[in-house]
Amino acid sequence: MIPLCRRSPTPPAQGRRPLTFKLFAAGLAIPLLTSVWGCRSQRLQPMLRPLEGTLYIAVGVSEEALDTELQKEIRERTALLQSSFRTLQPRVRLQVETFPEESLRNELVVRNRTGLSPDLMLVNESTAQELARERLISTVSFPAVVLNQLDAGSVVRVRRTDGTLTGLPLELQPLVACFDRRRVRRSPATLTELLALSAKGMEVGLSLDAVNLAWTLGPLGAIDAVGNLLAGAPATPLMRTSLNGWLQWLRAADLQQHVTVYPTETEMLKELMVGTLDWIPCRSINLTRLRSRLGRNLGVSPLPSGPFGAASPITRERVLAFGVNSSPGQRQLAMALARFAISPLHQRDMVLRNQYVLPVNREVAPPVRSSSVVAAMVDGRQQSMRRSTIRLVGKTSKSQRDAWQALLTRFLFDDLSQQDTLKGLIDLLGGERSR
Amino acid sequence: MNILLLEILGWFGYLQRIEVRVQLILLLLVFLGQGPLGRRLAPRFPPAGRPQLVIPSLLGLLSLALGFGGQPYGLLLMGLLLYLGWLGLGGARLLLGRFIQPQQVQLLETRLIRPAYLLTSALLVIRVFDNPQDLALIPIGEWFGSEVTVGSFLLAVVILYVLAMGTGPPAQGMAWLVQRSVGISNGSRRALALMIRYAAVAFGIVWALDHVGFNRTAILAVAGGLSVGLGFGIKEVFSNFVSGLWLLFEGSVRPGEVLFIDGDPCEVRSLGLRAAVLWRDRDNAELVIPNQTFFTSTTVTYTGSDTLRRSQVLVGAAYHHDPIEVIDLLEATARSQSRILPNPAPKGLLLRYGDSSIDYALRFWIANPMDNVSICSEVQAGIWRAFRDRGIEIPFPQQVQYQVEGPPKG
Repeated sequence: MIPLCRRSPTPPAQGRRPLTFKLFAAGLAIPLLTSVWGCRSQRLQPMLRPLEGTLYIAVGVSEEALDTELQKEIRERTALLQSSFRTLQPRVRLQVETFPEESLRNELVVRNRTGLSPDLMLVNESTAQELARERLISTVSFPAVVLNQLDAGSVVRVRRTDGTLTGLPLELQPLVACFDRRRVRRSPATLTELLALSAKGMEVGLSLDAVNLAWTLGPLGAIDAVGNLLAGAPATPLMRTSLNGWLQWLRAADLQQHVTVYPTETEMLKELMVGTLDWIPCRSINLTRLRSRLGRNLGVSPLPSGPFGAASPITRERVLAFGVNSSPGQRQLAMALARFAISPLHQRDMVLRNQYVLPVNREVAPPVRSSSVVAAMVDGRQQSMRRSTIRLVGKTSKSQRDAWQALLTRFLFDDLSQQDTLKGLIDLLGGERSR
Repeated sequence: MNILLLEILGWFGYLQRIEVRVQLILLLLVFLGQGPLGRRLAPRFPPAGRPQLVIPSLLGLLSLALGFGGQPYGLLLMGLLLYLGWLGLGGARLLLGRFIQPQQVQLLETRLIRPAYLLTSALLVIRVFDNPQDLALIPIGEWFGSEVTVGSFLLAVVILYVLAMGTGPPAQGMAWLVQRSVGISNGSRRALALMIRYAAVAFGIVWALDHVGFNRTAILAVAGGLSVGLGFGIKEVFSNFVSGLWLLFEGSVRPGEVLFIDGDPCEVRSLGLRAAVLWRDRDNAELVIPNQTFFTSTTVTYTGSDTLRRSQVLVGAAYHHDPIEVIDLLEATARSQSRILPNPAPKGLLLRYGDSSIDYALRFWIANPMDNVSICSEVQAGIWRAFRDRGIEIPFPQQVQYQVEGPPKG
């Protein structure tokens, strides 16, 4: 009997290499030749030819929120922008990619080394700052006439010491209260009312994410304490008292049978859409999705106030940041598109069509009278204009925000006493600054 | 599907960037140019003729040069790493060869390891041009009432492929464990391994359909309708598949069994979905026989209830030798052969009185039916030597030819 295992007369890899090489070469050569041909034809164009080419746009989204539906939404928005922009530049194509904003830094490290970084990135203002600090994006300059049209505060936050910008502010996403009208007739106006309604059976969702929970700091009198600690001020008895009051309210809310605490906003949104929750704080960008599920039953209103004043939500500022690998043509295109995106024409269209963001262009007045949703967003935006609230975003790092969430989770799960949590919070808010 | 195509076409827009073009041209030059360059330089500098040395060196040097020049070099570096990884698979093959039979290593390499490497490489390349996670969410159509995305579809295909190609060794391992604990035969072990594979693939198909999100009711309805059409259209394939499953359960044609095909003992190498592959010792041929052949025709097996075979050799001895003495000698000769089983004992028989000799048969039992021809040869050689030593003549018919004169001419 011959052995079962015989050596193949031709080892599998032999004899195939030339074919692999040919295929590989063909795969590279065809696009290269096409591009060279494209270059020649470009030279033949007149000097005042319209801009043309492909522009790569990366949209940063929350990792847990990325799904087919969100991707579809983003593609639709980009298609809308593209069709509008094509009225000016008909030979432009926008290619959009979505990335978890948390991993955008690592993505750019790889992409920049290969020369394939996106031309434009639609990200949070804080993300743009971090990316600019690490020189992963290009800072840009725009004429004063362009910047003067924009919300002054937003421009200040993206302006660097050398006068350049980390990105161009594009839109504002305030935090509002979203509720199901079938079960909640009117959104609670105060925190006391919120807990009272919850005691009567209204299912309330709260997110422990630092940015999403910040709205409770103002009504409970803790916003100044947090702001001052972040500014490097030493902890005073008054600060301790106000933070203690805030922690007590959180504990009281968590003990309510109909209040559920979630780690992220995405989970709350899903629960509201399926009818498990009745009332949640939500980012305005999610209104499109909520509206598609709940239709007219979706209620939107400003967040509740409290004994110490109005809510202190954080408005997310989205900016257009610029990649480092763009060709001169692509950079020119990117600048043109960015200017178009902040133009009154597009900004007005953006607000009127979907009502999920507020414009950064001051010349565009949001239609607060005709839309209660826009009115709620404007209220949310105004609530977030408090100096201490703004500081909460600008002066905290991601690790600090993650640690905040971990601390509060342990507190609500009784793993940490209130005193230890308070001490942890003070150390966290004050310590990170001094490092 | 259009979105996916547009997305892929959109990658070519990166060629607008000079840095990308430079990297791609360098990659092209290195991979295409190393052949002619090596042939030209090899007589004077032999290492230049070895692409596995030249390509990494050139790519490494060019990456360094671009890096020091402050230019993007990631595509060159990626090309280098992927090429080194491809070369590294050769080392993995040698390593696996120490633990697994070469034939299985080859199957594992060609069907699982290299495809997996190519898939990973493709994903890595896509990763720098696009976001695979993002691409995976692109819908490619609505099948059976559910939206199928690129990711769910590809994942289902990959899982099915891995199950179909990679479940062999784990299934064999499980069957081996069962054999060790229950004590089933080798044939049953192989059959069990095959059945475990079929079960894994079947579960994989169900999982894949479920994962993709197909509507089960719609699938059942379509399957019901298709089964009629398939029954007429490819009934032979189904017939062979069902026959194969039946034969596995029945145990008559399992891998490792020895069957008689056209008078030759053949060992069953594998029982596939359509056909069984048998190995014929005589000429080292592999016979691919449709499963339903075994299902509908008589099969002679030596490994049904046990693997023993009773074999015999025929020999003639001259009339003047005592048959008792000859029979004793034949039996003693058989007992002296190591590959003949002592029990049941070899038996010598006087068959008949022939024209020129008394014909004897020596019957004996052997353990492996496939060794029959070689053992018979050894026994016959042993009989010749024993007869020579004892002066026993093996007669053969002799023919005397006389040349007869023809009639006188003219």
